[in-house]
Amino acid sequence: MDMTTYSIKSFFFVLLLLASSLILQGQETFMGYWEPEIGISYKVAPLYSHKFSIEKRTLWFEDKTVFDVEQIDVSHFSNYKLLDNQSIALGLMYRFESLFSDERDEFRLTEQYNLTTTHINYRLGHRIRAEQQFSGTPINHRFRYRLTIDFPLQGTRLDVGEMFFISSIENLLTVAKTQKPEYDQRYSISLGLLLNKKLTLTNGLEYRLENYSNQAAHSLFLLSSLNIDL
Amino acid sequence: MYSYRPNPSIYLFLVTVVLPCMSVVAQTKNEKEYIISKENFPEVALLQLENKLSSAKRIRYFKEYDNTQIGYEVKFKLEKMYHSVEFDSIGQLEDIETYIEEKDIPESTLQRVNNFLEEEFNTFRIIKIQRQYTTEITKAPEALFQYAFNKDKNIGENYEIVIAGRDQEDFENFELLFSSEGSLINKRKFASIGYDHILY
Repeated sequence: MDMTTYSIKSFFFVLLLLASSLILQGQETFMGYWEPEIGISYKVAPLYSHKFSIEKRTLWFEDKTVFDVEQIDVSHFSNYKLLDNQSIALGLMYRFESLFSDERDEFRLTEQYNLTTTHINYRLGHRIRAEQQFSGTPINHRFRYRLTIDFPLQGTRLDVGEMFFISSIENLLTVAKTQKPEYDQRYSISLGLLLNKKLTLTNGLEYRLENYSNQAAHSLFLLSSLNIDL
Repeated sequence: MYSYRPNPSIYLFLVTVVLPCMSVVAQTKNEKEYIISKENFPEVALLQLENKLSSAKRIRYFKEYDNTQIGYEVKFKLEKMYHSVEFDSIGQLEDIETYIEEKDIPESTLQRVNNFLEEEFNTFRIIKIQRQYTTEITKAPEALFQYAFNKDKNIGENYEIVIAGRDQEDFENFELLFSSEGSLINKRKFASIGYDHILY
């Protein structure tokens, strides 16, 4: 039982330590983005569900304040529950980039396994993903693992109208035939609000350290998402 | 590059759609717990807790609304165990619950509980277990606290088990109450809260 408090404290300590050391590392390239998302999930069969979402990325800072739309992602995930706390999913995503820049559009396939464990005061989520990114050049293969913690902020269970806290750490590895492996790290902290049983609003920050073994780039994302669970 | 300026209609959307939704939410709540200060906890209840929480950690006081019923609850950690003590609207002790693991349930009781779960569900997973001491065991609060803190078994305590179970359809959460002999006393289904996608 003592492990509960210990785990939460350790998680935040590690998160804080990593985030502060990475921020202090240097200011090679820093960019700020705003990424709002709207998602709709619905059940197709008892254990099978779909999620559609649309997400826009706007660059708001690069040396100076700017407001440039960089891309729009449209995605669809098919999710199959193996158990109440385990699922596998297949995702399709199309990224519109050529409309806003010289970059090519991208099509992405995602395979995912998810496991959640419930503890007395918090919940942990483990997500493993394999992605194949197609954008004209050789296929990029990306492998990622995300650890998430979430818990309600008012009491021990989440009631309608209440807020919850979510934080995550994610490791990413991207490999392709024509380039060196790229390692990325992402850390996020968000606050969510359960507006009603089917509607959730989440706002947060995500710090990304990209390609840190080579030419590191730092970016900060303002994340907003509205999720409807039909 | 396409240049973007924040659109005032977003703020209009927030003010006209999202905020009114939140006020509707507030009107339709029918089961909820609020954290309250110790000062707002019934004095009668605090008197019963006197001297029992001196070495407790993470003490939090709650007021609960369950449809028309009001109750009070204090949750705390004592000697590495998580407890919650429930009182009625006027501060009379109702029950004491302690988080335990499967191995803490008497063997014969666990066997009967498992038999029930296997008959009732195709697949199930135990999410949490609490040992419950109610005033049906004794009306004397002092004695009830002693039973709970001593982890006494086979004295008429109940076992409240939350599971995710599936019969034919999707998994659903159930709160099941078993007697110390392992007989089912009550079965209650939970409405699922739609925020699972944050992890998916």
